[in-house]
Amino acid sequence: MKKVLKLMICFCLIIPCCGCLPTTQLEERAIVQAAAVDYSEEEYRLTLQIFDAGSGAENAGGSEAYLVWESSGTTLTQAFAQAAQNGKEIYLGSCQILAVGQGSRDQLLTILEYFNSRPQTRATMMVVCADGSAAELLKIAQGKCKPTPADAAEQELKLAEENKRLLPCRLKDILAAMETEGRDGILPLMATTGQEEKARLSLMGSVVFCGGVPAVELTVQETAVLGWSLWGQGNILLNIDSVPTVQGSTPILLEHFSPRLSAELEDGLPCLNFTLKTKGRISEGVGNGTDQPDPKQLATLQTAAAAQMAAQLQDLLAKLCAVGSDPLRFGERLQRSHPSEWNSTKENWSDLLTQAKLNITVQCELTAFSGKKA
Amino acid sequence: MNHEQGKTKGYRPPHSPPEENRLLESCLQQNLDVLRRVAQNTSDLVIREFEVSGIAAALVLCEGMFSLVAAGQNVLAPLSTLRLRHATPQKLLEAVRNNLLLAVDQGEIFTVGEVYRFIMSGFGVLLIDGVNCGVRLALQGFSFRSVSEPSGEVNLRGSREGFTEPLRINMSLIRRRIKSPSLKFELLTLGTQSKTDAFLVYLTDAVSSDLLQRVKSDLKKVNLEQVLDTGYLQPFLERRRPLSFFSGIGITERPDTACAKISEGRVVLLLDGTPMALVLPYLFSEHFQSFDDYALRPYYALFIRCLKYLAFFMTILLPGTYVAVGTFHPQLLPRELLYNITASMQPTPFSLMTEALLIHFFYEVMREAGLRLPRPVGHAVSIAGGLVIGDVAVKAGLIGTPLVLVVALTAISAFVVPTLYEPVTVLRFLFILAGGFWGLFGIGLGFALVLCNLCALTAGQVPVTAPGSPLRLYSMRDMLFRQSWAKLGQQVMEVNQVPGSRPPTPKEGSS
Amino acid sequence: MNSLRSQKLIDDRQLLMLLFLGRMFSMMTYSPGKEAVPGTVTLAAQPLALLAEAALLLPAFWVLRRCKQDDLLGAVYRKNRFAGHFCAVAAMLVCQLESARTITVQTDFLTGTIYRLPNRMGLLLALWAGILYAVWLGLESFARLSMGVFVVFVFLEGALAVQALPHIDLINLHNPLEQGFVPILQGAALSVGRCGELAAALLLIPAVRGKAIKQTAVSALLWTLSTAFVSFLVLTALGNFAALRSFPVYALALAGGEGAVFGRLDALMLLVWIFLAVIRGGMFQWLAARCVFLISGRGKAFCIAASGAGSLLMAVFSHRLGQGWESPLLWGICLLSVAVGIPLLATLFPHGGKKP
Repeated sequence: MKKVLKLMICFCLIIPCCGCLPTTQLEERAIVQAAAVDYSEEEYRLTLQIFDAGSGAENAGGSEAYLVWESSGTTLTQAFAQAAQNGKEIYLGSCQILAVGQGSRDQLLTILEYFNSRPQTRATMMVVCADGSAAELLKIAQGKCKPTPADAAEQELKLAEENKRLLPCRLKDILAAMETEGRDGILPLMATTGQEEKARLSLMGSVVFCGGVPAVELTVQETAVLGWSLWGQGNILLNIDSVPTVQGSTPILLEHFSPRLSAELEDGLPCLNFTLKTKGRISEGVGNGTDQPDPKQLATLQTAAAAQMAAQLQDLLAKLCAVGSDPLRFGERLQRSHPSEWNSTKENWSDLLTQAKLNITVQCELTAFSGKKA
Repeated sequence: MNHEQGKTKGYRPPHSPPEENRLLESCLQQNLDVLRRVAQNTSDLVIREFEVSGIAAALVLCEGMFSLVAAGQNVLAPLSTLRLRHATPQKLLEAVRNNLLLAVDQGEIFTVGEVYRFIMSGFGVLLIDGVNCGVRLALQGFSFRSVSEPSGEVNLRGSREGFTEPLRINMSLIRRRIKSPSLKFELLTLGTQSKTDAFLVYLTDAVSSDLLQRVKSDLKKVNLEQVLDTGYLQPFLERRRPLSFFSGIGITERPDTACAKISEGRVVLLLDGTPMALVLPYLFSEHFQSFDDYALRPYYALFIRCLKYLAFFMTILLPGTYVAVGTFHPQLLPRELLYNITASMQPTPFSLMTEALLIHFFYEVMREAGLRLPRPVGHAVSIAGGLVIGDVAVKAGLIGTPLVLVVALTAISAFVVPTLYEPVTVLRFLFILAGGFWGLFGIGLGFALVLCNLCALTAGQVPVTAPGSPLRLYSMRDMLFRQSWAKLGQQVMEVNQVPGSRPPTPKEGSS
Repeated sequence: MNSLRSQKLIDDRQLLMLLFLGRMFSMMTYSPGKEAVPGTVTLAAQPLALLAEAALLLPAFWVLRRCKQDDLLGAVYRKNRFAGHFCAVAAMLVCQLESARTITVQTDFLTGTIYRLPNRMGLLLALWAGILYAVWLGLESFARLSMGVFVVFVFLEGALAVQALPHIDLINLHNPLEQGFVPILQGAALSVGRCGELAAALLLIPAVRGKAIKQTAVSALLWTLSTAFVSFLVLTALGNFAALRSFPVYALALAGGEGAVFGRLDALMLLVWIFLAVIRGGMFQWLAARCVFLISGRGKAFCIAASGAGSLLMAVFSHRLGQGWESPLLWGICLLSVAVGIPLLATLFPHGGKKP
């Protein structure tokens, strides 16, 4: 009995001795679904999409009810403090989307590091650039968007991610890219399209950052080429004019990509080698629409498709190199293969990229509409 | 026969008043006077005096404990017709001992205390004037509950018989299943006043002598006046070091389970007046085994055992984890679930921990009330409870809807392993507190310490967590996965072969 | 009976589990951002670290064989009582330091990453009390617990691997020999320096039944493989993001998919880590209590209380040391003092004296 008593006393003492941890009940939290950061006149403007628990309770916990809170401050800390003045603790654990406005792109690294240091932030949160004001993305359809802006943006991005039309845009990926020497982050670019209640969020391409600042914007097609080159899968539609069908040009669907990337130094300048092997099929019958391919026509198509793909890649890489950006991580490849050469060039890698020599080789293997090989 | 064995093995009855240790005299009247004096004229003492061939004799009985028919037809009728030539008390005793078959179980007793113990167990005692001993005659005829299916250990397959209250019937239920001479029923009498009969049941060729000695020496330390249930003996057998929620002693109502345990080298303790037999030692993993596991196919037994382990951990940890996650770590919840829980918490006035404590408290109150009340009223309480917890409490804004699901899951899971209901209920409350005060850290630390405590526990010299830890793969063949009988039956795994279950050497001592 | 006496309390498999899980606790704190050498170098240095660990233990095993017994402290006591006391005090301090380190690392993780609390004292006290209770229950209690934790830990590692698989990019691995062989040596030394389990292995041997030395070797092999495996996952799946996090292994668990109930592994990792803290802290605390018993000969309660008080003080005032508390030099000296210092003393003194 004495032992039991002693144990009970110990248990009762542990709680006051160790103290209970400060608690915040769920209903005292403002659950952020999406956050948008704009920067103008040296002031951050924070727009938060908050789950409306009161309305959710009436609709049996429906997650489609949301509120939009706005606050501002000279620092993000101030802006968040102002947002928390609503009496609730700002909770970022469920934040799906972080949108960075056009004006705040120069502060991207600061914004990402701030969010990364906030408690409970998910490293898998998606980061996007807004084409214009980031707040507009969350205020779409006058705050009555269904699905919510966060869900709509997430769906769009996930679809693009599944189709490999997008480079990784999670917080952890962007931060890892931006923190790596000579490597740059690429953020998806989103904008609102349509008017008022019919407005929707659309993917407009991507923004390439170099040295923490925006360098160049890529179109949807360019982003897709970049994504497929990196992921090795996806599908791309080319129209070849050299072998016409009854409709006009021949549509070719490239589906399998085997990229091999390497870098070396030639006369102190980077030489970027990009060898791409692709496999695809002619998406409609050649010639008179028959399934029996003419071997010569197929060979011509293969050469033409390879050339077209090479041209696209050449344009893309040239565009990236012109601003000294290296999203395909040629720098790290050089580091792995020629560490001493990398050590001598890593400081000026961005500058050297502008003068880089590009060796692009594309091989294309096509099958006929019916699946017969050339 | 068993009484004789008890005597010859030097068994001594526990301490009793001096009058009861008094030897029977040759004078019948003197003996009857003593019996009446000791009993202080209790109304259930029946003394039938008569003469056999001119010698005064008396049959001493206890009202309600004996069979009137057996006493009349088997004892009084033969004695009343007995005619001895040159009758003397010794000749009459010889005739009763050798010529008359008055009862199957018949023997001589010498003290007043023994007279009382036997008549109160349903025997009749024949006292003869001029003989300084009594003859005990088995005439039991008291009413008792018949053998029926045990309510606490229902199985799909296997026997439907369960232990009942009279010790001898329970003995027969075991003996019928193990027809081996090495099966021993060792009689003990426990309780200075109640003098409750108990049997230590074991197989001499399977049980470890250390275990047997340990159990016997523990039982010798029982210094209670009344022993009404096996629960009275548990603390003496457990030697609780350290204090723990768990026990190294099992309880069963099933004779087939008891037989299986006996054949594995365990000791089973049967106590008169209770259908609950104690099994020593009882490993933790055995709480998750049932007789069905051995009758059904092995893969299904594996599935059921996994289910039971999951249910056990769920019933302990689920409410605490729910509170911890909701209060401290909402990021662990999937988004949609978080939104639903937050929306359900919006109208409630209490914190998640208070809600969980309240609702579990209500549940336990209703369960306890439903258990003790007469069955028709119990049903009414269950319905009222279901309504209160399930609907009204949510509508009144006392608790959130998801918590109802948590309580329901927890409550149902608790009955999956009924033998662990006691620790589970208390631990559940402790984990709610730990989760509410310290979040997942509290849950984790608390769980680690509870498991440490469990791991420190030994039943006899066997760690209760064996054979999982200390681990021996061979012993694992019937822990989570049960091997088929073709392999399992090749060699019975006795409990003293479980890893870590060796007796302490004098040098090493016990921990 | 006092379980701190020389008794064969656990078997050799349990020793393996204790040492492995203890080392895995330290592995959880691995952060390429804090290391003096790059992550890839640390990864490449693991085999060398294993050899160094073996080399460090060999002299002690040789001394034990020469003394024809398995108790290192007992061997010193038999030769010289004063030297025995000296060694026991040294071993006690090392074990208390390791126990305090376990407590501080765990509370720093909890206050910094999970709860974001300004004060760690509450959690520190709770963990310390928990560890003392485990020690009170005896070495067998957490040694038996380690078996189950090992299974869960292996499951966790497997789940982490499955979760990290889609994110693995070998481009994140660099040439470890980029800067020559010296950083690899440095990385190996750092790995060995943090391995207090080597000291624990030597001090635990008297309490172990069976082939303790063999299982220590197996455990070292296992922890080297496991450390290399988890470091590989962290480096390749997280890339430079790992360097931005204080606890990248935890960040790896966080990076899982969403949607499923408890789809992320962080909750499981948190629970496993707490279990590891109890096991590692308990192991060193028990050893410290045993040293107190050798010095004082007092009862179990006194020994545990005295050793526990020392650990608590060290843990509470650890922040005063600042970076020094995390310094590999401190832990290297601790390890050397037990693994080399005590065997050296055991060989130096002539026969004499007796064990207390």
